[in-house]
Parts: sequence; structure tokens; C-alpha cells
Amino acid sequence: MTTPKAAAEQAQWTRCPSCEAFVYHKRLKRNLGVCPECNHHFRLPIRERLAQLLDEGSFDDLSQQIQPVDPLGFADSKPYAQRLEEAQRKTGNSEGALYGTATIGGNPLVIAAMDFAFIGGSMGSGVGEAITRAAELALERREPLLVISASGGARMQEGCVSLMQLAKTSQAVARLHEEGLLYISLLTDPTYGGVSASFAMLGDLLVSEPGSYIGFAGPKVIEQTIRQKLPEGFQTAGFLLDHGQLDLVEPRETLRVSLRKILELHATSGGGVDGLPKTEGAAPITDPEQLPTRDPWEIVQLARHTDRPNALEYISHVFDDFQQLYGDRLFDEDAAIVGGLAKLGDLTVMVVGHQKGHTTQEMMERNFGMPNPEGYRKGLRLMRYAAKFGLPIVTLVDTPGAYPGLGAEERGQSIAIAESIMEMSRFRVPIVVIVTGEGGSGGALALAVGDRVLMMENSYYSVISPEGCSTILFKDAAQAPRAAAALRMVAPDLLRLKIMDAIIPEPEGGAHENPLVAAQNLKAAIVSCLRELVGVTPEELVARRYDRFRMFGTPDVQPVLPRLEITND
Amino acid sequence: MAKTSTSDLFERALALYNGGDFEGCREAALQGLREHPKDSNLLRLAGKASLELDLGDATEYLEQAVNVEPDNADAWRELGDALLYEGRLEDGERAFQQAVELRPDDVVSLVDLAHLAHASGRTDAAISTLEQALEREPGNLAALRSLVDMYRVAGSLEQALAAARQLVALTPDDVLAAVDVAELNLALDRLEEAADAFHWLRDVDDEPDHEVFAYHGMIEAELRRERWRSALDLAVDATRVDRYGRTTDILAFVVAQVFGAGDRPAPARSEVDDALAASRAEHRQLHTALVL
Repeated sequence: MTTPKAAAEQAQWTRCPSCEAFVYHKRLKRNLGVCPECNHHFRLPIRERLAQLLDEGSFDDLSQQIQPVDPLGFADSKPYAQRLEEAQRKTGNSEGALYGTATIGGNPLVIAAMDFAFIGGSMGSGVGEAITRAAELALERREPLLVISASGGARMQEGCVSLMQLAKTSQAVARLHEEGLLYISLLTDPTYGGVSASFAMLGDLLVSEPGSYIGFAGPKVIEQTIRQKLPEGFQTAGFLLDHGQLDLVEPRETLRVSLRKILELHATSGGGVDGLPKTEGAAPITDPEQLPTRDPWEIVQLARHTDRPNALEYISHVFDDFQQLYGDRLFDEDAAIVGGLAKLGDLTVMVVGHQKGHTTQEMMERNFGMPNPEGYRKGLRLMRYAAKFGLPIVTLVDTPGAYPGLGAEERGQSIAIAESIMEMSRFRVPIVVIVTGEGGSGGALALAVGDRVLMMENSYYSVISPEGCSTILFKDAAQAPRAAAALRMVAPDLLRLKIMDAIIPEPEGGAHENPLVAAQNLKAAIVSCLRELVGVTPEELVARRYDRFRMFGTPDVQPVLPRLEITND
Repeated sequence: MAKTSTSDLFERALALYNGGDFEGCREAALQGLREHPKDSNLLRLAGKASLELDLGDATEYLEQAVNVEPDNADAWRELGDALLYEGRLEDGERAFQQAVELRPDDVVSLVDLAHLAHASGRTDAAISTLEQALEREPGNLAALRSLVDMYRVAGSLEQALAAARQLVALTPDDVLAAVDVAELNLALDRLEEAADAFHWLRDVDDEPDHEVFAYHGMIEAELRRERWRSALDLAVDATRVDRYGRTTDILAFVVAQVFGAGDRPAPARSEVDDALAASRAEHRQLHTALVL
């Protein structure tokens, strides 16, 4: 008799469940199982998934020893043992997950992958065992762990034993976190229930493919509970990305390349001082007398210039292999803060910065560079990531301030800023801060507690905007230029006050006149700071950082500026 | 050193191809082609190996092969295959037409031709080509599966049902074929048969959590006949196997029909119909397995 599998294998054309087009099967295969008509990502059989991601012939399958258990002697319409046998026959695997060692682009790793075809990708003790053994092996070998999930949830037929797999797997990956080992979780379509609520969501990096469905409770259950229609795209990877719960949604075509890049960024993260690149930019200025004297209000205008280079532009000029990461893992993806892994020469760093735009539309998308709590929580999450892996942190500060909104307050803007300030002060990795444009108060400081704090020549840093100060203290918004001068918010004064360690020169007319030169100077400054900091022990770094900020406002230690005569004109 | 003959190189290349060593096969074929650039067998192997290796020159070799040997149906089919692989549908169709003209019983090419006709908006031609394929090889599964789909696309549900029944007779374990029979009976308002087919689907589809889809089909058949009590029994039963709460609203609707409105508003009939249609679509999607 012809089996269904044989019938499927004979199919020359496959109907796309999304656009309903008939797709030539080999064309679909060539396209990695992505519909060429509508980009729908078909679910992949586990072996095909591994073949697409891993170096050819590199997978050493260690999962043969894992056998499922039937702790309850469970039976529904048929005994669980019989279901297991049928699933084993159908998939050729003894359980619903494989694990072993492999390489991606030559980078060694331990991998575990779930098979949705095995009892709906449900997690019973066999799956939990495979994931746990993979995590333990990664720990033993000190190698990154990649887990590929595809699951409907816990396996009911194993009762509470299957529920315990959530704890068993979670504690195994917790040890990886404690030991500073990289854990990448690739969540494929679908990942639900007990798997999403345990190891699958615990990766350092959470990656998925477009259109994958990921969630805890199924959409029908939610609809029937809340008696509301759910929004279009609910629980898709895009939805999760927008809500800050994934780092990346990567099309299948570039998935392997991205994973390889991430592994390489981690494999070479210990480049040290020798790994820093040679630079061509002008050296930062530490003597305030060498800085040109300019009207502070004019500098405020330059700092706010809409053509001024923004964080992503500086990052593209200064760093290589930038891998942007998204989300706060709590509520939202805030585009007012960007960040990710990048290379500076051979050194892997974490870059985090406020992001504005040049056009009104870009500005609106980035909320004019004014982060919500989610932005700060994303920034902090990325800095924690850097601290875990011993990566230096570079922050680029350019914000008028934290967003003053109702939702921001409801979701704890103050808490988000406070925690960022506090945790930055204790990270055991070098932190270099550059104010590239506007340094607006606490919203700026939330990314600005570092070992070295520098600013671009035409930027400002202030406890309040000149307009705000003018309105409050001078009772007249029109007095903003006067307030700008009085607040001593520009480079020479901040250098004298020791708020800044150095000033980065800008091209004639401002950074926007020649962004490339501005970026070269920025790069030179960052490299010069990291040369001094990389190699300093973590204890020393934290102690010096403490002293740096301890000094501010301490009598007889804090420098005091000469009184400024400002007229009302 | 003795020179390797073309025949030896072909045999070696063929063995490598059959063994899955496409790089080795291509190398051996190209070596042979250096001395015998018009050897159609070597050209075909070079093209097929390039295709497997995803190299851009596959169609080039296969085009040369059909130029050398224009009466070789296999060579035309291989060229058509490579052209479709590249997404060149019109060129591919021409190649398959050649293959079928040379060998009218080439069912594989006929199925491809049918799909290509459909892709260019000629669904009637697609159906006739598939019928032709089945005349040549009754019971060809690929042709039957495609015929079910094409009849459905064309709205010829009776014919689609007949083809689906044939498919079920040939592959009783094929869940997708069973889904087709059940759905088509439902679409044709043959509600008794539809209920039976969904009942039978319950036995065929033993995937965990799939039983609920068969229940939904049975409930739909009962709702259409307005057999509320029977629908209620089925809905209550369905909740037993429904892990994800897909049946709750359906049950609420049926309860309202049987016992009258309660204190919680029941969903509208249109919402229930939508939910049942979505359930069928989801079930179908779960069985559209991709065997790469």
C-alpha cells in the first residue's frame, strides 16, 4: 500500500497554505521552504532544518540513548505507549527532540532541536531530557547552545512529570547564564505553552522567522476568555518583536548567516587591546582652552540640527558587523533606543544609543529620540548582556530627554531610568559614553554612567533644556539663549567641571557638514578610551567609576566655574 | 597513462550522481565534455548535477543536451525541471510540452504541464491534462491529488469529490484525502455523507489534538441540518478533546439553540460558521506537510 508519506513525496507541486498558489516542489526546496509567491515560511522537518543551518556533515547526533518514559501508564483513545511507538515509526526518531554537537560556519556549538512531527512537538520527559543534556554538554564543553523549538506545549500523557520538564530545562539553562555561556533560542512555528514558558524564552538571544506563531495560551482560549477579537497578526513573530519579546525576526534566507555572525561575534569577543583598530581621526581634546569659544545657544542649535548624524549612522561608520538587537523582553520595542553587538577591529562590543531621525516621519517613528521606559529597559538589557559576556559597552547619547507621557509614567519611567543609572555604575566591563548631540537630563544620564564620558564639540549636556530652565527660572521662554549660557551646558565648561573627560572635535560647521570626518573622530576617541580601559581588572574599573561619580559636588573636590556675567540681551 | 573513455567517464559520473556525490559527478561529466562536448548523456549529467548543487549553469548544459538530441524526452523533461526550479515557468512549459510530444505517456511531465497551465490561468486545460495523465496511468497519486485541487479551484465539486474518493481508495491513510472527501461532501450539502466522512476522519487522523477538527466537521454537518440536540452532544464531546478552547463558542451557540438564550450572549451563527471554517483550514494546513 502507498503510505501518505509516499504520496506526499510524489507530489510535484505544493499548495501554499497562505496564498494558495501551487508551487513547484523543487522550487520550494530551492527557496528553503519559503513560498516564492508570498514569502510564507513553511514548517520544516527537523532534519531539513538542521541541514539548512548547520555545516554539512557536522552534526553528531547524541540523542539515540534518549528513550521516552510512560510514568503514568496513560491511555486515552489508545495507550500512550502505542502513540509513542507510532510517532517513532513516523519520524524515525526515538523522541521529540534531537541533540548533539555541530558547527555553523566552523563555529562549534551544542544544538538541540524539537520535532513538531513527534506528537505535536509536545514536551515530555524525553524532550526535557534532550534539552537538559544539551545544556549540560554545552556547559561541559564551554560552547554556545542553540535550541530550536517547535511545540504545542507540555505532553499531557505524562501528567505532572511533563510539567516538571519546564523546571528541569530552565534550571539547566540557568547554569549556562551563570557561567557566561551563550544560549541562542530559535523559536520556530509554532512554539506554545510549556516550551515557550520555559527554556525557549530563556535564551540570551531570542530569534524567530517571519510569521511563526509563538505564545503561551492559544488565541482561541484568549478570545473566549476576554470576549474580544484579537488583532491581526496576534502572536506572530512580528507581533512579539513589536512587543519587545524577541531580539530578531530573521527570514530563513539569512538565518544561517545571522547565526554564524552572532557566533563569530562571541567567538572573538576577547580581542583585547591588540584587537583595537588603528584610527585616522583627530585626537580628543582635554584642554578647554584649545576649544573654540562659541555662543552656547548656537551650539544648542547645532546639537539639534536635523541633519546631524544619528546613532545608527555613526555605528555604520565606526563599527563593523553591527547586529542590531531589539526589545525589552517585557512590553515593547522602543525605536528611540537602538543597540546591538558590533566589532571594533577584532574587539566585540555592545553599542547602545538614542536614535533620532532626519525627516519628520523618521522623527515620529523614533519619538524624536525620547525613550519610553521600554527603551531604557532595552538598553539596560543589552548592557547586562554585554556584562555577562565581558564585552565593553559604548553608548551614544542624543536625546532631548526621556518621554514625558502618561503611559511612560504608568510603566515606570523613573524606575527604568534609575535602574539603568545604578546598574551602569556597577557593570564589570569598560563603558565609554559619548554625547553626540543632545544630552537631555536623566533621559541622557540613563545611558551615560561610564568610565569615560566624552562629548562631541557641538553637543550639550544639561539637567534641563534651556527652554525649560528659561520658563521656570527666568519666567520667560524667550530667555532660552540666556539659560543655555547660564547652565554651562557646552563642551568647555563641562570639561572644566570634569563632567566630561574629553571633547571630540567636529568638522568646520558641525558634524552634519562632514559626517564621515565626525565619525572618524568619534572612532578615534572610542578606540583611545578603550585602549586605556580594556585590560583593567573589573574590580578596578568599578572602583574607579565609583570614584569618578562620587566626586561630583563634593566640597573642595568639585571644580567650580568662575561667575558668568550674562546680560538680558 | 591510459586515456579514460567517454563511456567510462559517463558510467563514473552516473554512479556518483546516483550516490549523491554531485560535485564528483559534475567534475567527471565536465572532464568527459572537454573531449566530447556534444555528448548528450554527459551534458545531461552535468546539468542535473549543477541543478543539485544550485549552480547557475544547469539549464545551459541541459539546453545543449536537447539541442544535441532533440528527440530525447527525458532530456526535455530534465530541462523543464531545471527551468521550473529557476522559476522560468513559460520556458519550462515549452520544455515539458516537447517531452510529452515525444513521449505521450510521461505522466510526471503531464502533471507539471497541468500546473503550468493553471499558473497561466488555464485551469480547464490543466484539468484536461490531468485527466489525460490518469488515462495513461490510472491511480497516479500526484495526478489524482492535483486533479482534486484543480477541480476545487474550478468549482467542479462533484468531480473533485469523485477524484478525492479515488485517492482515498488508493491511500486510506492519507488524511488530506480524507479531509477532502469530508469537506467536499459538506460543500455539496450532502450532510449525511459529510457527517460520516468526518466521523471516519476521526479514525484516520490519529495525531494528538486533531480529533477536535473531526468533531467540528460533524458539528457543522448537524448545524446545517439544524439538528441541535445532536450538535449539542457532539459539541459537549468535542470539549473533552479540545485542549485549546476552540469549541467553547460553538457549544455556547448550540446551547442557546437548544435551551434558549442565557445570561451570557451567545455568538452569532455567522461567527460560529467562521470559526468552523477556520478550524477546517487549520486542520488542512497542519496536514500540508512539506517533504523537502
